[in-house]
Amino acid sequence: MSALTIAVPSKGRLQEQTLAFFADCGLAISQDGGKRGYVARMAGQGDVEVRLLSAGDITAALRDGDVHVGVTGEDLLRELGPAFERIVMVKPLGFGRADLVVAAPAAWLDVTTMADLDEVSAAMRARTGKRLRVATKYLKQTHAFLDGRGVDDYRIVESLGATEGAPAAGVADVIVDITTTGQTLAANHLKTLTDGLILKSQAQLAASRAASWTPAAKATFAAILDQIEAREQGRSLKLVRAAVGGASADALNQLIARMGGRLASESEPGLIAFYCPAERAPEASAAAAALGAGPVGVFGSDYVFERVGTLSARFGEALAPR
Amino acid sequence: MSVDASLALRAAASALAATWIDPPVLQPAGLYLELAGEDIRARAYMLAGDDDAALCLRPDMTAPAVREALKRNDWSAAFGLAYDGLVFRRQTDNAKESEFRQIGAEVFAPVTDIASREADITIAALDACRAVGVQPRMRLGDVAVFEAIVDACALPESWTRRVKRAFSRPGGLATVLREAAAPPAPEESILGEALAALPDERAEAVVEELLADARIVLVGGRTVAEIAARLREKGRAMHAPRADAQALALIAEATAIEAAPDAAFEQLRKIAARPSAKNPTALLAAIDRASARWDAVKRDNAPEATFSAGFGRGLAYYDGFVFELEAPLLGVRASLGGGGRYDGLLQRITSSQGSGPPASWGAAGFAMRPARLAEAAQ
Repeated sequence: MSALTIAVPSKGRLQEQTLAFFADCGLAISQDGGKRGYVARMAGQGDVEVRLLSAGDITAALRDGDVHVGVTGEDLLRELGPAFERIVMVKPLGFGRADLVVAAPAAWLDVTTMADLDEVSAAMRARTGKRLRVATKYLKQTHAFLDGRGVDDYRIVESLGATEGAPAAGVADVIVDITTTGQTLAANHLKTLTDGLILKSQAQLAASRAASWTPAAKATFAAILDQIEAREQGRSLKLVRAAVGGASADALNQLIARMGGRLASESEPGLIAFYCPAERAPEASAAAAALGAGPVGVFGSDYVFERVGTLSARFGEALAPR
Repeated sequence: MSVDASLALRAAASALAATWIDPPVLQPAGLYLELAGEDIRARAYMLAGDDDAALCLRPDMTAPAVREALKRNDWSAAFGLAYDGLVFRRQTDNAKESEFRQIGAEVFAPVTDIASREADITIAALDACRAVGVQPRMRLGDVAVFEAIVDACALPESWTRRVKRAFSRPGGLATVLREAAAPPAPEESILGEALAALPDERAEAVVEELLADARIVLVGGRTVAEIAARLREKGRAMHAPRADAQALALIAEATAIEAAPDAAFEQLRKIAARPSAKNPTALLAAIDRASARWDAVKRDNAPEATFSAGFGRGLAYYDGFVFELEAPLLGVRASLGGGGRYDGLLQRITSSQGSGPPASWGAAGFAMRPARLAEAAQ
């Protein structure tokens, strides 16, 4: 049995981006038994089992502790309600971005804010005895958000399929759903309310407190996190190497500090090497040359590992019993 | 005392209602969602199912009793329905019961008759407690008095609506009164301002044309007329007077009064005499009705009681008098039950079912918890 189980999305754009993310970190995921297999391996991590599941199933598996780690949308995780406490969001992944919003009919020219929606819902109920119908599959976040805005003359119509079509179909008045560009909303004659943003969601690398975290599972996941962090650092840093030449060591050290860089070597006679934020590397190199150092070379780094990884340390703290 | 709490409560219910009913434990979830709002999902046991067909374990007996009354569908004379059954409520506090028995009665009558039954209902519940040796503390309220206080102040229309709606929301009244005292600047609505200057049908035509030009199809359950009307209202609000600070202070003060009933009525009458209470007639009449009801309840034997116009209870059905009986020794389980008047609930369930009593009918009742009453009697 593998020490650590990781669930990744089994289809669509989210799968592509997740696989690309791990591959880029040197943790390529390869499916056993061809394309159709639903179990996979992770490069360099013999102790890891990768499962391919739908984003919804990944969320449930995290809630139940059936997997240690998963990649899924923050919108789905927060919909767990009280069970969201069992989730540690270890790292936002920067893709799968979508906004969870309240959207009303575009024709409601008098409605632009949540306060408007509150008044309109009260007027509807007073006139017809019926509550404003809100179509959504995000029941818990919708309730919490509307409650917090003092809207209470509404009723949720649970939607399983195309939520944005519910008002046109006559089964709802407004909706709560995710949107990326707003085009689907506009095509369905809907608009977002100016203060109707419930959540800015993106894909999260998330861990389950409910899973059985053996020492081996923790160590394996910590190693994966260290590698992810090292890759991220590698991408954001350049290695600058220079012959010290006539430059004074003090002046060079001050330059490195000013550029937000860090020494990369203990002591190499006549040479200085430091990591520098990529965007400032040319400026730093030119400045070093101006101080009398040179030649100065700038090199890309694939990975930069720290003695103690920040991500894995933070995860260890989050998992510790509270 | 050897009288059994259940027997005493059943006798009280029988005295008010000739017919015993046994409504289904499973009730339509949609009914409660319409009546009590989405909060009910956290308070009732909802069973999975398509929304329209979804069921829940009944969280009370009042709404099921109203459904039985509609099923009976005989509105030739006033009648009462009595019940004795289990209700189910989710509790976050483990000391409270999630499944418990309720014994009660609901009385249905033309509004002209029902007011005279309110005191009977209160006395029946009170006497059942006394029959087992419990002298409960009584909390009284009257949603009609609250609404009359708000109406008396003649606030701008939209604030009157908001203040009334805030009543049943915990902490809502204080929040709304605070907002009304320092309202945000009315939102600019140039369109609304322009439409406000037009006759109704012209304003609607303008909105129709704007939507057509932008190729926006009207979806959702509102008409162009409603949208145009509210735009005009927003336009007018840009130049409307703000809510009068003294009137708001009066509402806050009047709803904060909690005192022995006669003293509370006296204080409310004094408040009604202030200049900020611009239309005191209806308020004074509402206070008189509450006062007459209390006179009837205390006639033989006055219970320890308080009255507060800010007091509402339970599932927020009630729109007239309300009462709650408490045994303070039981701590968090002090509430023995209560009741009140709920004409609006009767009308709302009726409108969702398509048949029912004439509009001039009202309803009131009580529901008590025999287990707690028995515990209080020990």
